[in-house]
Amino acid sequence: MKFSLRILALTLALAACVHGEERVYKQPSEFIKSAFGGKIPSTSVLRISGGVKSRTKNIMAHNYRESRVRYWKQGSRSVWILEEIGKTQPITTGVLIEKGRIKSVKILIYRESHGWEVSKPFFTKQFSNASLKKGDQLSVGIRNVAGATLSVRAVTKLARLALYFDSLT
Amino acid sequence: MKTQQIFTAASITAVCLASMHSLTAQTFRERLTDDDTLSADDIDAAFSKPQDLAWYDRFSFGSYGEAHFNTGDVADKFDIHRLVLFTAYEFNSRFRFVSEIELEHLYSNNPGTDIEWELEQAYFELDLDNQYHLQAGAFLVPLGITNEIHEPTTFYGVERNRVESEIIPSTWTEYGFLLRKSYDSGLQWDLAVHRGLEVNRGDININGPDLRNGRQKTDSFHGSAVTARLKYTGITGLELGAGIQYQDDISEGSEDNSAILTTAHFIYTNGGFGLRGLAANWNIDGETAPGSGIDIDNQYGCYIEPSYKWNFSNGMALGVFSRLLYFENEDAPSGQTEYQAGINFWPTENTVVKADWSHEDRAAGKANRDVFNFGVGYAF
Repeated sequence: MKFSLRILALTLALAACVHGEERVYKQPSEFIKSAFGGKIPSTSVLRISGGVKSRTKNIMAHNYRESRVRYWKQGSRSVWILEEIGKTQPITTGVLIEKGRIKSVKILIYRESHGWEVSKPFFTKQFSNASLKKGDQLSVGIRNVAGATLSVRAVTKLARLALYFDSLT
Repeated sequence: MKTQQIFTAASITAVCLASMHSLTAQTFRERLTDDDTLSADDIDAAFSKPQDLAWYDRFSFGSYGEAHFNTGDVADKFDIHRLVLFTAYEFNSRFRFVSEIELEHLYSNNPGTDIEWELEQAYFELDLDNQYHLQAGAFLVPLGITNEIHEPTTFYGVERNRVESEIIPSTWTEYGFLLRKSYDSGLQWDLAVHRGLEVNRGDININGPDLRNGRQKTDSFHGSAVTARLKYTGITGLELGAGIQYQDDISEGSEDNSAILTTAHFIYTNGGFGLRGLAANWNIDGETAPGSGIDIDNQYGCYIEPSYKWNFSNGMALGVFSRLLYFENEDAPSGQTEYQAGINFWPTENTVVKADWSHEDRAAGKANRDVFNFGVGYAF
C-alpha cells in the first residue's frame, strides 16, 4: 500500500511538470468569426454613461468599470464579449444576439479554480432564445449548478447585460 | 524515506518546475482601441491575461462567516461559529496557490480549548490542460455535498446537517495529492491520495470509533487513504455524485482497523423547487466496542431535504426547507432521527439570515429534544 502511494505521488508530481495550454475554450476572434460567416465586422463602440450606467449597475449589482464597450454588429446580429468575476477571476464570455434574443452563449476563457460546469454546453444551452423582460431579467429561468453558484450568477448577469446593450444599438 | 517526506518533496518539485513556465506577455488591461479595423490578434490579445502582472494583481481575497444562537432544550448559546479568510495567489494563468484560514468559536467561555485556529485549505493547483487539474497540499476531501461547498449562503439550516458532520466529518481537510478530470458531458472524476484518519484506540475499545475526532489536526501522519469520486452535472438542474474512500488502518493501536467510506448524493432544482439527498456509510474492520453487544462496525446516515426558494426582482430571496435525517454512530448506536424545518432570507446574494427548528428523536437513554436555531452568515 505505502509503496503504491509513493509511486502515485511521484507520478502526480511529474505530471505537474507537463506543459499545458491556458484554459481558452475559444478565442474571442473565432467566436466573432463564427457568428458572421468567417469574417470580423468593424468594431462598434457603446458609451456607458448617465442612465445607461445606472441601469448597467443595477444588472451587475456593482459599478461597471468600463466607460466604453466594443461590440460587433452586422444586420440584426450582434456579438458581445464581456467579463465578470465569478469568485476571484474574470470569466470571458461571448454572447451572440439576433433580433433581441440570445442565439448562443459561449464561455471563451475560464480562469476560476471551481465552477467549470458553466463552460459546458449543458449549462450554456439554457440561454438559447432568452430575451429581456421587465426588470432586466431573462425571459427563461437559468438553473443553478451546485458548487458553481458564483460562476452561474456571473454568466447570467453577462447574458442580461448583453441583451440590454443590444437593445441600445 | 517516509511517505510524508515523499509527499513534501514531490510538492516542492511540482511547485518549482511549474513556476518556471513562462508564457508570452499579454495585454489584459489594454482594452480595445477605437480603431474600427481590429485584427483577430488584437481582439484575442485584449482578452488575454498578461503574465507580467504586478504582484498585488496576482492576489485575490474572499471571506465567509457565520454566527449562531441556539436555544430550546439545550443551553442557550451565542456562538461566532466561524470566520474564514480566503487568499489565492496566481503564479501564472494555470498555476495558483489557494488557502483558507479559519477562526472558530470566538467568544467561547472556554477560549483555551474551544477557540480553533485552523488551516482549512492550502494547496497548489495546476491546470494541466482544460480538463485535467492537479492539487497538491491540504485540500478538502472530495466527498458528499457540504465538505467542499459550505459557505453559509449555500445551504439551508443554521447548523450543518449531522450526517455531513458526524458520518462524513466535515469540514474534513487532509493533505496529499488530488487529480481531477472534467468532461464536456458534465462528468467529473476525482482521485486523491492523502493522509487518513487516526481514531483513538480507547474510543474504539470502549465506545466505538469516534470518526469526527479522528481527523488529524496535528502534524502527525498516521496512515494514508485513497478517495475516488464521480460527479455528474450534465442534466440541467441535476447533480449526481458518488464516492468511496479506503484506509488500511484508522486506529493508532496494534490491531488493523481498515475502513471503507461510501457516499452518494443528488441535488435537483427546477425553478424555485429544490430537493437534495445524501447517504454515507462507514464499514470498519476489527473489534469496535467489544463486549458492548452493539454493532458499531457500521456507521451510517442519510437525509432528504425538499425546499422552495422565491427570488425577487430587487435581488432579495426567501426560501423554506424541511429535512428528515437519520444516523447511527458511536454516540447514537441505536440511531437518531431528526425532523427539521426552517427559513432562509437572503437580503443580498452574499448575505443570509436563517431560523430553524429541529426535533431530535434521540437514542435510547437520552431525552428527545427540540432545538431552535437562529443565524446570520455572509460570503464574498
